[in-house]
Amino acid sequence: MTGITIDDVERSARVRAVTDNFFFWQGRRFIALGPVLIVAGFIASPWVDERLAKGLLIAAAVLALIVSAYVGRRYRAEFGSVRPIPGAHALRSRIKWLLVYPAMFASLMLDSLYSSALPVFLSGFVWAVGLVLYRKSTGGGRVHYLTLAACLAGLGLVPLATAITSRDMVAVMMLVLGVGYTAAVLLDDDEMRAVMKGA
Amino acid sequence: MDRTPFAELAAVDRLVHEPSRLAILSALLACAEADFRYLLTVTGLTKGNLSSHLSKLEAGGLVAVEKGFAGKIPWTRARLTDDGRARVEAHWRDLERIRGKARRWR
Repeated sequence: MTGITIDDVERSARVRAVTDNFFFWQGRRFIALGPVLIVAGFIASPWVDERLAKGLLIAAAVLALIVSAYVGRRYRAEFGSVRPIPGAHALRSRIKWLLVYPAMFASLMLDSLYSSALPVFLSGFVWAVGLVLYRKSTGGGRVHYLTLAACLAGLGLVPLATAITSRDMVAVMMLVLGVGYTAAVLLDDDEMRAVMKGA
Repeated sequence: MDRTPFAELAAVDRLVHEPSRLAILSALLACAEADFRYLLTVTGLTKGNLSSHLSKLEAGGLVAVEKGFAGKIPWTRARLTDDGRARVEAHWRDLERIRGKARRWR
């Protein structure tokens, strides 16, 4: 019989973390959300016609749903499927819907009402915390989310060093989020493959 | 005398702890049910080896295996039995303790 090592134990722990959160590690499922955020950034910018931008946003959102369903089928064909334990993540869901999402929304509202000098100071920070919590609650690993969170938190201070206006800053945050998110979900996919295939 | 973490590893339940079977059981512990394709990917085993390990785990009462057809395509799904889940959870608690001890020992 083959012996088992501490490294085998570590790998088994990683496999368990991925299996427990398999849906969230299938990064390419969510890749279309990146372009949606980028389009949302353009809507928030002053350089794009608003009606055109809103049309683009709706088209991007519909495309995101179609792409997600298609990529989900491809993942099932390549990796198989798991059925999650019912109610296993009830606490995570409650925290997400009752605390994290409302806090993210409220921070955007508060920034738009009160922070004319630093237009995404609070929301950059709160969204960064949201990303860190997302990473932790879905199996850890994926350090790229920490990089993205640091970028978002740092964005809040950008107006102190530049001439970017309030409305531009919201657009910049959405663009950074869209590009960063697209990169992050591709890296999710890479890391999931490395864990699943024992790299 | 306190045993080293490596001595403790040598003394664990071998039906559960064999590397391929531990990978299968670890994956099953984190879900209600997994299909054969998923277990193939996550363990890196051949179809024959995976079938053989699943049979051993089923015979040991740790795993329940269901087979059927979706149209003409055969499917196999596996899940931990209640007893199997309790045994694997207990085993993991031991492993986590040993892992913590190994980190301090390094």
